[in-house]
Amino acid sequence: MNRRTLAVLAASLSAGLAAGTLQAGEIVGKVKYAGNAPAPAKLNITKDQAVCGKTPHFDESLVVAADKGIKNVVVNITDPKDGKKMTVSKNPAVDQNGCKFNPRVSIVPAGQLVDIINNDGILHNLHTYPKNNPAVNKAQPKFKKVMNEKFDKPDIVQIKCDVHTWMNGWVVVAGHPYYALSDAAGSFKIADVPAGTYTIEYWHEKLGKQTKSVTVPATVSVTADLEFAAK
Amino acid sequence: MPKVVDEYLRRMSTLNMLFAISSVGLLAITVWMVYDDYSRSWKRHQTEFRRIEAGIVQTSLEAAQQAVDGPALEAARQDLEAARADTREHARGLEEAAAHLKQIETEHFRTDLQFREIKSTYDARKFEYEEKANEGHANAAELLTHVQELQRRLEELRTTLLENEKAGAEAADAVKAITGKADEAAKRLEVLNAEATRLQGRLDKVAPHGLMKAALAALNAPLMDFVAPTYKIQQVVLERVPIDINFTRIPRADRCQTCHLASDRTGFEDQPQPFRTHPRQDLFVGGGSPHPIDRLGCSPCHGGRDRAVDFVYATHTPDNATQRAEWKDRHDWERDHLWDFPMLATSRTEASCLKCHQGVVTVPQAPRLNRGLQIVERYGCFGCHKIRGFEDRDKVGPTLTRLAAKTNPEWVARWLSNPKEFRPSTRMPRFFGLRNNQEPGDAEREAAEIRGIIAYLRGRGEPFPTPPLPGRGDVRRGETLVKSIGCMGCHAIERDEAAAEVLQARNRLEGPDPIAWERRFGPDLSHVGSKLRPEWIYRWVMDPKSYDPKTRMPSLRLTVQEALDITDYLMTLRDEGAAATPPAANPVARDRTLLAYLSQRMTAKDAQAKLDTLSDGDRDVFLGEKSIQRYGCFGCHIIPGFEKTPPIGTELSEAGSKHPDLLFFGFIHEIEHTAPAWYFQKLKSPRIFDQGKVLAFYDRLRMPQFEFTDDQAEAVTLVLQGLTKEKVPLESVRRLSARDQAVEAMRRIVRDSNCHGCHILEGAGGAIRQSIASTMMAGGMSEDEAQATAPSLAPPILDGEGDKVQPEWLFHFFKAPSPIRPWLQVRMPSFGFSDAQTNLLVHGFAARDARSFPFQTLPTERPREAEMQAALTMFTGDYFNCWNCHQQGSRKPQGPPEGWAPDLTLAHERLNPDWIARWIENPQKLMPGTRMPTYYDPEDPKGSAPPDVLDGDPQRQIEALRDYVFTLGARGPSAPAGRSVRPRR
Repeated sequence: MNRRTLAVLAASLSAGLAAGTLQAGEIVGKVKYAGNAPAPAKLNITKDQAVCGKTPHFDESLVVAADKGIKNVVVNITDPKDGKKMTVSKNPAVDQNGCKFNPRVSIVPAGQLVDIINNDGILHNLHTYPKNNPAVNKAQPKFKKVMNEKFDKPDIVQIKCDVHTWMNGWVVVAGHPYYALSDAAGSFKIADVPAGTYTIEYWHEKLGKQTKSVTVPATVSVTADLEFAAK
Repeated sequence: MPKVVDEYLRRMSTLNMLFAISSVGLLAITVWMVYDDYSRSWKRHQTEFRRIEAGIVQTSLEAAQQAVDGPALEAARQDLEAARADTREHARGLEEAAAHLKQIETEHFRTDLQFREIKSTYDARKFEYEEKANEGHANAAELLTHVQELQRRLEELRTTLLENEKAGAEAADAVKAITGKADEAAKRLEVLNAEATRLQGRLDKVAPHGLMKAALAALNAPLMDFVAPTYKIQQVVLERVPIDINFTRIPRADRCQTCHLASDRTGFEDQPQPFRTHPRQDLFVGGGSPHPIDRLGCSPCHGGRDRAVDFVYATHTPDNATQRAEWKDRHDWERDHLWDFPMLATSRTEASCLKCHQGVVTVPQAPRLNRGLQIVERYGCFGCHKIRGFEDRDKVGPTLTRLAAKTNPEWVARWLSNPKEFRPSTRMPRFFGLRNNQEPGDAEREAAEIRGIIAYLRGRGEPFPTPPLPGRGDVRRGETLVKSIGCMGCHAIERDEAAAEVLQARNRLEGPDPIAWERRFGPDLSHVGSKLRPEWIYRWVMDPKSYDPKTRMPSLRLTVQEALDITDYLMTLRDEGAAATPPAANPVARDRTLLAYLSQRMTAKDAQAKLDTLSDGDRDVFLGEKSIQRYGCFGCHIIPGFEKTPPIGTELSEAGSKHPDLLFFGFIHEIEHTAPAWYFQKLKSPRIFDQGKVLAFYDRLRMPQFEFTDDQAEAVTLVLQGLTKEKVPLESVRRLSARDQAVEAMRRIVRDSNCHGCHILEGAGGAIRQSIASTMMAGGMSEDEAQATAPSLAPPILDGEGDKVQPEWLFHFFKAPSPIRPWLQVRMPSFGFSDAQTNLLVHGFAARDARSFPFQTLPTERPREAEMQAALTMFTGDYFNCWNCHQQGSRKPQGPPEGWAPDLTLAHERLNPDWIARWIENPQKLMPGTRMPTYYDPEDPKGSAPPDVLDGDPQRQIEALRDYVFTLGARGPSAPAGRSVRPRR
């Protein structure tokens, strides 16, 4: 009997003893790119050189690490068994600094105010391309350092700036807490997932959306390695 | 015994028997007669409807009872109980108070009576006195005393009355003090139960019980029901939409609601027919709708026998075979051939809109009918068939007077023998090789006819010089131009845009056309290189009207090099499939055909003699002329020698009133014997009714094969059904106001110029976006992104254009377009509109947006210094940074033109000032999806305005910006454009 089986056994035993306590595991894993990704192209900065041209810009729509891990993949379960909502301690922020959206991909709770920050001190505008929420196109001149934006329904919203056409970002609006964003190595972790079998969905701005089925045991983590075909 | 002579001639016993039988028979027949008269299908429907209605009321009653606030109801009930108990306790006091009140009321009544009596005497005496006094009569003074005495008594009584009233009020208050609480509780209870009580009342009425039920049963009983039955025929008499019965126009009496009892009532949407609510209460039937039932009834739109109260007699028409079978089963349905206005099948009711809605480009809310009208319009049915409402329209095909300059005879031969073989999307129908010309010798004759037509067009055509090309073009540049400057608003290159399987399915009429209808305005360019001469293309794209003054192709103001590039690119679009070979000369077939023609008018000998006088070439031309004459090519094309020839087809202006007996079904028995079935069949297979008949070739059906899809044929049939001879009186026809007429005139030009190919207007159009997206996808963009980007590269949406721009500017823009949006590659073409047409367009746009036309006041005053400074401040980079994107005359913004915005120095001569203000306030509201960002949050303008400019007042800021924008450019005393000032800290 190996350690893992023991752990599961212990977990179910303790669950049986303390009936009613929530059993939760976690999903960890890595998203990989099956193929060789081209090196990110350098972007041509055509405007506001003084502010935007301070550092070189690269096309970050597909960033793949040396070991093929893909950055900025949103992994979420599509069928949570509880009605929990995602909570955050303070407003998530999207910063426009050096004429790029930082972070490029944010996960924000539905209905939560998002701080849109203009640290550049020049005119930007927030133009959203949502599917389930109303589209907005709001100017953010220098005198408006912080704007608030709210997305009420779960969605994947592209954000752009029409003044600086190379600026591209994404706001993923989450209806529940079981969302994770892959880091530079392609790793992600969805914590506190109640035991059960789920469909997980993983989305990347350029590679699209795929799904996979995963069973989460109580208290321990399950490894889900995901892969996108080369494009 | 003397013989008893019978005094009767017949034997009584036999007669008695006869009388007995006949009286029993008479009784039976009377009973049967009464029964037959009584038992009417509509009564059964009304009984059934009562039952349904009672069920619905019962359900809502139960729901209402459920909905009553239970605790509140209980509390009110308890209050009532308590109050009543309280009242009982004070019973004695109440009795006394009530008795007192009654006494006072009696007293008051008596006094009042007395007062009135004396008042009348007083009035009479007073008049008497006045008369006497005027005549100077002796006893006037005596009368006066009497009158004064009466007056005194009246005054006394009046005082008593007032006192009584006061005492009465006090007594009533005393009563109320005791019963008030109970009354109030009862009232509350009543309010809570109001809805339920109302519904209970309805229910009692709809489904009476007890004595009432018996009484109603008696009223509706056989032989009793002549008095006041509750089951009645319901009818509306329509004086204003009469029906023409054998040359007499009489008012309609629509009795449809005798069975369709809920047609004007909501709540019966899910009930079976005939009890269903009319599905479009907003448009029809309802009192507030544009077609109220009391004015327009049912039969003017639905058709059918207005007075009928029986299913079959009303001439209901089934929608499909399933329904027909069901009706046969349920109603013993059969087609009634004796009524000239059979009801339209439910799905075909739209046809009737045409009776009243004429002279409009689209009939509101009639999508299928509009589709039919579009097809009639584009396919040019009116070229051969005279159709009311389509008079004086231009021919739909290209002019053929200068054909030799455009193409070659081999291609014309290939085209004529089967146009769809060369270009499957063409609207040119096929004339040759069809089903009624499959006998021996027909193929040879048709080949000779094609040769003849080509010879005629070449022989009678006029020259059109096409000088050699002035240089060489670049195919790649040409392709980019064709796919970006706007050609794709009206044309398609379907082989580049759609998958081969999709196109093949379309060719087999099994799938839809992947290209938008607007982009079928001009021909598909997939294979034009196999058809056209490069010299001709060059001249044509440079100046289309020089070749054909009536063409709808506009000029895109190409440079010589652009025209050369486009010419070279188009010449690469070749169809290498079938080699074009002209039909070989066949003098025998030709001469035989010519003799047949000539022999119609003269003897065979004379015909031969006439033929012998013609040379070989002349014979070809002569056969061409005869063939063009017979096939009616001039219906769609301008052909020399046929400029005035009348069209060859049957007039269709009253096709919808045509009785099927007047249509020739021949040996085709598979289709229904109705006019719409015949039209549909004719449209799908125009020559089928020749089947089984023996005919000389010139007597055969000539209508060509269009290869309509079922949907198209259905839509055209709908139009034909709508073209009736029924005359609707002017007062009932939709009449257009002056403003509507201006808008319609604009819509006609919009339709004829295919503005919808590029622009979205009134919920339609913008087809070029399809091409822009597919071009971007061909460049490697994902479909989602291409679809999202296409709108920003497409020509502007024209809804609200009249509101936005100054009429004078719009006039000049139509006459000589100049670029407004530097980021667009697509060009507004020069349509070459006349002044009159341009004025109609400009007026129509203004009228559509309820703007005044043509003159208006524009601001000329320079804004005051404070406002000017404020505007200049807001224009700077620290604020709105307007020049970051907007072009300023010759000063261009940074970055590539895709990121630029319109030149603000043009605004003062282009835009309406109030529009500018509304635009700055909320651009997304005026043009959803625009790249102009919103500076003022619509929900919090004050909070989002720059706080340190003009006291942070958004209204003043917007006005300052507007006025400043109006000073930019040339007009009046203007500020130094774009002068940057230091922002106020």
